[in-house]
This record gives sequence, C-alpha cells and structure tokens, in this order.
Amino acid sequence: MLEIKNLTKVYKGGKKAVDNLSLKVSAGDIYGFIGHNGAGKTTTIKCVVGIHDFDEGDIYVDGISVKEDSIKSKSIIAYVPDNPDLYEYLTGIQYLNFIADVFGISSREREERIKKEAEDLELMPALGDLISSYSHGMKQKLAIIGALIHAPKLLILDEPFVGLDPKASLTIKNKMKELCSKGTAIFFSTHVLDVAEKICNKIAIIKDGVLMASGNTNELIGTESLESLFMEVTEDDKTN
Amino acid sequence: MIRQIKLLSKVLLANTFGINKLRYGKDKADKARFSILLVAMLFLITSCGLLVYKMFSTYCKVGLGFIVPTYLYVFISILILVFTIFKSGAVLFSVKDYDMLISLPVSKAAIVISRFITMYVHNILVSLIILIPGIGTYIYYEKPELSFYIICLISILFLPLLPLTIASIIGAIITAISSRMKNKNIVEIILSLGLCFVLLYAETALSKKSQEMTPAMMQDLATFFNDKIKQVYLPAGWFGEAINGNITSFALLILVPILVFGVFALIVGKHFQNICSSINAISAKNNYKLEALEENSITKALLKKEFKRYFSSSVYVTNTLIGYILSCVMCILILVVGKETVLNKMGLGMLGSQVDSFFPFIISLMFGIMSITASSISMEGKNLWQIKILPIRSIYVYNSKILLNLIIALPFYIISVVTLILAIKPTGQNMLFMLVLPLCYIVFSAVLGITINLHFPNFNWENEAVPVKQGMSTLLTMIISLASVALPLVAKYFLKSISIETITMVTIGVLVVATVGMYIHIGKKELITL
Repeated sequence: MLEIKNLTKVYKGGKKAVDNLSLKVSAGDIYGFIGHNGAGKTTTIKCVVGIHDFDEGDIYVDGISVKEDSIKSKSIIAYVPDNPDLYEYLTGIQYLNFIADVFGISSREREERIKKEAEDLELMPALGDLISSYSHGMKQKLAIIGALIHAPKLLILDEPFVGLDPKASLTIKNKMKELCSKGTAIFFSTHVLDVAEKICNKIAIIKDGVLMASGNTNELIGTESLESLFMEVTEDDKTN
Repeated sequence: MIRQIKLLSKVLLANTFGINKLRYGKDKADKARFSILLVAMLFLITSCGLLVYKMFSTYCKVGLGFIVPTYLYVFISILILVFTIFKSGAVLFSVKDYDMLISLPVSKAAIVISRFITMYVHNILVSLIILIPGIGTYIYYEKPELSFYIICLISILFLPLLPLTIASIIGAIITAISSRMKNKNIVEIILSLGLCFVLLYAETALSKKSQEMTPAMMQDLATFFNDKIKQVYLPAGWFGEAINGNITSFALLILVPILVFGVFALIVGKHFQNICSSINAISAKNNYKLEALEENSITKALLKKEFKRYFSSSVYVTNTLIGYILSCVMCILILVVGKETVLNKMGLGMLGSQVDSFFPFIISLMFGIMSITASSISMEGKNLWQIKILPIRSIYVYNSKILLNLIIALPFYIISVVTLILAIKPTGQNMLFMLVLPLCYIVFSAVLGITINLHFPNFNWENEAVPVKQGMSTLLTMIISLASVALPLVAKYFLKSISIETITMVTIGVLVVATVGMYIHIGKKELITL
C-alpha cells in the first residue's frame, strides 16, 4: 500500500532530514514509525502526503507514484498531523463538509460516516461550534473524523495519541484495528513505545534521517521490550 | 518596568522587516526576496523624496517657506493616524502570544507599551521618508539657525506619539466594542468601514469650507491654511513656533504627547486583560444535531471556504475594500456635486475637456490598488498543509481565490460604473471603455496578486496585519498595479499625437495578454513548491 524507496530530503540550508530511507507498508498493517525528536519522522510523513517535495527516491501509494500522479495518490491517503491547524473560522460540520466535497463523497455517505465517527469520538454536540472554540483534543478528533470520512486506503497519523483523553485514545486504537481488519494500511509516528508495542504488527526506527531497524515487531523485539530495542538501536550508533 | 519594556520591545522588534529571519535563516531564496524588496523600497523612497522636494521647493521659491515645517508636521501626523487606525487594535491586543506573555512576571502596561513601541518604530521609519527630504528642502532654501536643527531633531522623535496615541485609542475602542459582540468580526468590519466614511466626510466637508473663501482670502491661501492648521491641530502650531525659538511651545510639543500617551498606557494597561479575555472568549453552544448535508462541487466548496476566511478577518476586509469603497464614493460624488468639483479636489483639474476619457483610468486605479489576492496565499498561514494534502490540482485553489476577489469587486464595480455613466453620460466608445477598462484592471490585479503572492509568500506571521498590510507581495502588487495605470497616462503625455482612445485600446490589449500569461504561469506552479 505504501512503498518508500530511497527517500532523501534535504532542507534549504543543507540539513539532510531524511537519508536514503526505504520501507514498505502492506494493506492491513499497523506500522509504527519511531524515533527521537528531530529524527526525520514528520519530514518522511510530509513527503508521503504531499506537503514537502523531496530530492531523491520515490514514494508509491497503492502502486501510484506521488511524483507522477500526486492527485490520485492523495485521493486514497488520509493524514492527521500532530498539531492539527484546522480552519478556525469554520464550524466542525462545515470543515467536514468541505473535506467531503473535495473527496466527492455523496450526501448519504457523509451523513452516515459523520454520524458514526462523531458519536464514537463523542464530538457530535460540538460540530456546530467554531473550531476556534475547540480544545487541542477536540481538534485532533475532528481531524480524525475528517480523515475517515472518505474511507482512505492508507491512513497516516503523526503522533495521534498526543492530546487525547484515555477514552479517546482507546477508541482510536480500536478504530485502527477495525480499519486494518478491513484492509486499510495505517502508518503512524509515535514517541509512546508502549502503544507501538501493543498495536503495531510492524515497526521502523529512524535516527538522524537514517532507518536503523524495520520489520515485524515480534521478530525485532524478540524477548526484550521495544524500549530496550529502541535504546539499543539508537545508542549503538553513538558507541560505534 | 523599564527593563520589562526594553526586553519585550527588543523581542517584538527583532524581526522588523524580516531582519532576524534573514540573519539566521539559511534559505537563499529569502535573501533574494529581501533584495528585491529593498530595491522596491529604495525606488519608492527616491520617488517620494523627489515629490516632496518638488512640492516644498515650489513653496520656498515663492517666499512661502515658513509654511513647510507646519505642513510637514500635520501631513505626517495625518498619515500616521490614517494608516495606524485600522491596525492598532490588532497590534495592541494581538492574541497570538497573549497566553505566554500574560503568564510571565511582566506588567500589563509593559506589554501595551512594548507593542506601542513597535508601531512607533515602524511609523518613525516611514515618517523619515517624507521628513528628510521635506526638512532638507526647507534647510536648503531657508538656511535656518543652529537652534532649528536641535529643536527639529528632538521634535521629530516626539512627532508620531500623539497621532499614534489617537489612532490607538480609536483602535482600542473598536476592538473593545466588537469584543463584546457575538459576531465580533462583522462588528469590527462595520465599525472600521464606518470610520472610513467619517474620515472621508470630514475631509470633503473641510474642502467644501475652503471653497467658501472670498477672493481676497484666496490670495493669501497658504497663510490661511497655515493658520487654520495651527488652530485645528495645536502641535503643528507649537512646532512652527518652537523652531522660531518659542521655548513654551517647544515644551508643550514634548510634554503634551507624553502626557496623553502616559494616560492612555495606564488606562489600557488596567483593562488590558479584560479586553484580551473578551477577544479570546468564543461562545460554544455544544448542542449540534446532525442535519441533512449538502453536496457541493470542488470549486464551490473552495469558494465557500474562501468567503468564510475573508470575512473572518476585519484587517483583511477593511484594508482590501477601501479602494473599492473610494471608487464608489468618488463616482457618487461626481453624480451629486459634479465632475469638475471632484476632479479639482483630487488635483486633476488640469485634465480639462478630455477628462471623460481619463475616468476609466481613475476608477481602474482605485480598483487595482489593493487586490484581495495579493495576500490570499500568505493568509493560509499555518493552514497551508490542509490544501496541500487535498487531491485537487493547485489551480483549483488559485481559481477560488481569484473568484473571491472578482465576486467581492463586482457590486462595487457596478455601482461605480453605473453612477459614473449617469453622471457624465458618455457616448459610443467612451461608454464602452468605461465598462471594459476597469473590468480588465479588476481581473488583471486579481491574477497579478496571486501570481506575486505565489512567488513571495509569508506563512510565518502572528498578526494578520503582517501579510495584508506589510507583506512584500502586497507592496509589489500595489506598485505594479499603480505602474500599469500610470504608464498609459505617461505615454499619453509624451505621445501627444496619439489619442487617449487608442491608448485605452492598447492598454486593454496589454492587460488581457498579461492576465492570460500570468494565469498560464500560475497553472504550472504547484502548492507543494511553497
């Protein structure tokens, strides 16, 4: 569903944020992308979803190159950023209608999906209010509903559990499992290793833009914890 | 508190004109853009300087040099007042860093004063563009004594204080009133535009008054206005007296603005938290029930979003509508009081019998000067990621912004053109030009604005006034729009054998070609490159 091949991204000023990164996410995977602050997780994600262009390599979403047909690839991706700067001058329902219009979702479908997701996330009563009145957690929930409204094949989330209350976190985790069981691929970055260990069937660890480890979670962790693996992989470079 | 003011002011002023970003940023494109801005600014400063010299040297040569300091003082005061009124509320009560500042151990008065200082510094830099050539001209012709230089230097430092305080008071009142209302933005827009009309009416009434003077008074016009100014705006009179050695006037010139500002800072500082809390307070009903939802096309969905964005910002609306409003006001005045009166008032009486042919250009100037699209990309700000990830071609986004500009301009265009046609009753070709030329300029400036903004975007702003009023894109669009109106008129001045009708037709042709060319260019520019 997602194939990143030799991705390299260099920012203006010379900083190499991602260096020759390659990984694959298959349909039905919950793929955790783990790394320190400034490791290159968000840059990688932003290259996939079309916010940043990139210098080398290519990215394929369901076999479609994001460089050659960005519109088609974006039509099957949904993205939830870590700090969703949404249109504060719109109400929640106006924002969802806007997203649904852009993705060409019919009235009936959008009503059904908004009803289901907004009730699951307990956001329905607030949909008539301006987004500027929302807390951070409410904005996260709204962004997630906006992402799910067009039934994406690939869901990309950047630190999805930051700012969510425990109930909402549990709802999101269950939702992720539900989506995966239907064939959706999920790729998300996180600092919360416990969550990654519990729900991800595959993980990748990135450090200073370089992929340090990737693969099946159980095979990588073995008898240790993800925390030990993470420290081992990221510190190993230092000692070497 | 002095230490707090110094610290806060230093932080706020650090990125004046983008200097801090230029100093520490690593983007070479930013440096290139800054160089272009610098060239544009130097061009403006030089043109301004030459204009000021020409105006005041004329006065000096006919023995009226004594009015130059007073005129300069009042002109700059009016400039500061008019240009600060509509942004002072947004600057003083900026909510972006409010949470951080209010939680620090700094006094509220220090926050207000430091924000005031940023406006003061900006205004004094702008004032110098006119002051230096103006005072220079006066010195060259009048050769004043040494005391003039000392008094002048000190007075200039205090010149912006009073008009800035008055502008801040009005801005604070508008913000305070609108913060208590449910639809804050709409109220702020209505109050700001209402203020525009009051200023325009006052200016018109004053000029009407001057037309009631007797022929004898007209001969002493300059002295009459000089005396009138001193009566209406006392500091201008004090300045005129101070440079002639009146110590009392000099003391008043310094102390009165300080006193007025001091009282303002104390009162606003006392109520600062209440005003900011009211601005921040947003009502939430939390009782939504799902209703039937309507499907829209991508274009309509984007356009609806653009409308909501535009009217959510009083700074954006007030600053971009002013040209359209002025055009309507001018045309209505022509219908009511006659074209000769209005043109004489605007200093265009020399156009004589050919004036009807120039009207399309005059309206076009007002429509082109502040295009909504000049800052529409920058206004996406931190929301830019949202449109970048959507599965739509970038041109759809640009089209929605251009369409917004055209839809907003349309009613003002209709009012202006219909009123003007009723007033001057043009026939044949002139009627056609009156309809077509302003329309061409509206479309041209809408496409121009977005083209420039795509090349000179600014997404890292904390205050909406930055991209709308201070952005390079806005400045460049304004300069090019002005030049596009000025060039045909300059061509007419030098090519006297060519009729204005021919010049108009050529202008229309050039505008169409340029607009199409720019549209093709932006069609190739993808949002991902921003």
